[in-house]
Amino acid sequence: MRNVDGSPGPVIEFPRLPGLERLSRLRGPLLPRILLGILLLFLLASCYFQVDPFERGVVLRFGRHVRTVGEGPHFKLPLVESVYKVATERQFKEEFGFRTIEPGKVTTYAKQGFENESLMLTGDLNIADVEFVVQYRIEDPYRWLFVLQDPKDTIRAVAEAEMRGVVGDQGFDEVIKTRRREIEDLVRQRMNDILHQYGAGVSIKLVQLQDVHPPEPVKDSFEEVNRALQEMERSINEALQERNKILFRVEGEAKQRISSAEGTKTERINRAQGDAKRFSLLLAEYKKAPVVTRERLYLEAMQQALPGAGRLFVVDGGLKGLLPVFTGTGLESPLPKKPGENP
Amino acid sequence: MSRWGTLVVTVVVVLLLAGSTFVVSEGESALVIRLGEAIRKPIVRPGLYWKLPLLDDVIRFDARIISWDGEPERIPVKDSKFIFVDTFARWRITNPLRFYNAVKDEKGAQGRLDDILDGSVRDVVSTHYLLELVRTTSRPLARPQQQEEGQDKAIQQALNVDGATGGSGLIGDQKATAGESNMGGDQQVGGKRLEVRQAIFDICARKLKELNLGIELLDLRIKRIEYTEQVRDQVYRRMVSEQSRIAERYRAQGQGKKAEIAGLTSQEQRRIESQSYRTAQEILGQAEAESTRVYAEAYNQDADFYRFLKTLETYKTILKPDGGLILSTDSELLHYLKTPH
Repeated sequence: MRNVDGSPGPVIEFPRLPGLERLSRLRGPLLPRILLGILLLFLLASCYFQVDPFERGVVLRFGRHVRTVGEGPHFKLPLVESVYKVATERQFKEEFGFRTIEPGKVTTYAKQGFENESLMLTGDLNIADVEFVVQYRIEDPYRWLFVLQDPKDTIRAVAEAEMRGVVGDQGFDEVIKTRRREIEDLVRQRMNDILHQYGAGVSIKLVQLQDVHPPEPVKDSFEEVNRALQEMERSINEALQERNKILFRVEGEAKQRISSAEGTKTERINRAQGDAKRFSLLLAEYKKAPVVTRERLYLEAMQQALPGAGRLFVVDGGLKGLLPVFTGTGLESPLPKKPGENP
Repeated sequence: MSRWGTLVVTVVVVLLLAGSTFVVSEGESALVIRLGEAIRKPIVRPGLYWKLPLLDDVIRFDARIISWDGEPERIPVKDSKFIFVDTFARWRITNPLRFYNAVKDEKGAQGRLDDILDGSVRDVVSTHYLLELVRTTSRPLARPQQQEEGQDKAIQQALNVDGATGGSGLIGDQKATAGESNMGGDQQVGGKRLEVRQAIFDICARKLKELNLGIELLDLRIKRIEYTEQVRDQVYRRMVSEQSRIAERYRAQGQGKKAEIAGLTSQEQRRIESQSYRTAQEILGQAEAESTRVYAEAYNQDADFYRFLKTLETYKTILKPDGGLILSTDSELLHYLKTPH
């Protein structure tokens, strides 16, 4: 076979090999020899193929599936066997409502122009903008190749149909906020059911809602609601704060009032008891010599009290009017002076 | 035989061999046509087959499941709105010969499917209400109210936590806010999305069978149901006004609750204040009662002596240098002023 590489050196020794006698007869003009060489090289090359770790190779002989091979180097018959490689270990992704332009640390997305994919009717006949991602794996490379004419397109169509079906059965708020997980699970489950019915050989691994929001034209009004909600919360919090402030003060004041009353009580009782004791003690002595004591007490009191009096008028019990006393303009009162009147 | 002769023979043999065999691959079916006539049963199994070179024509068909994707159709629904309905279907060539005779190729088939599927979609969809098409089940949908009720609970808690026994009447009127957010979803219409789909599918499948095009319809699904531009704008306007109303209501509710809490606070304040007043008065009353009892007990020992002492004391306090005092001579107070007895 060495002669096929066209190098002149080995060709000289050729005639000595009897097995190649016939072949050597084909020697002659250069062109056919080169053509033959290329053909043989091509055949040799088409015997060998390599399957990457994330792939499976589906081998067809005369168009019929004969075997599926895993990773590594493999041989096949030239011409009659052909191989299709399918990336079964890769997780493929389909995006709805946006496209990743450049993945990376800061991934850039294109969002414009995909509203057709993402605007959906909700169960209460509102419109929500639902962006989502579907990830799938090829489970059966043979089916992937030969069951659906256009498996990717089918996955997209089924995903859209089922997402819309599920979203159409939820309220707007449920889609936006509360039932995201349920929606994802339901869509994934239904997609798998349908694709399994097709026998597509794929399995949906993940349905993930991305940005789900009110459509652009109504976005502002939704933010307005959020603001109003916060305003309401603030109002309520303010009121509660004010309430705390007032009630703490009032409670303190109440306690103060009660304590003060308690104090007064103690004071009064003590005073009463003190007064009573004093009286009792005095009385005991008084009883021993009532007349003298009475006299003494009286005189002592008068002694103290009378010098203190500024002006004291004592009028006769029979007198009916006092006015004449004070109408005085320096004139003497018409009424007669009473004895016992003090200056 | 010359070298050239050998070469020619080889080439001819190779060409004859190549021209008299053909391969039907996985996912394919084929017809062999000789002079315009199918000479054998359609080939549906992959493999290597013989034919007459030059004379026989091999026509291949895709045996896989083929997509049909309809254009969005503008259809009036029963509640006289116009909507766009976009459907897709999956079909398969089951009889390549019938298929070849009836529609020739996939393109021809897609055209026929357009007619049948579009028409059937239109027929079925237009007899349903929009809501029936959109909903799958009759499950009642969550309303925004639930959230507010949660909030009320939070306030209730906040009020109870700080020890208030009041708060009785707070937010008792939760129902007052209910029934606000309807979005046309209140009509009790069961979801029929699946039934509609099934109905369209059944009609189409039957029609295709009757027409005998060698085609089998495998699946048909509604991909999109959408408002037309005009209706969409209306819906947006409605959504905006609805949101504004909700926002307004939140604001009003905030103010209302603020006032409510202020009222409760004042109620609570008065309760605490009056209660403390009552307690204080009780205590003072007890004090007075007790002191009165003590005084009475002591003074009752000799009421006359007490009066005497007390009167003397009073003189000391009422006779002031800058004050004046006018007393009648009958005055009890002066009794002892005149005489100690």
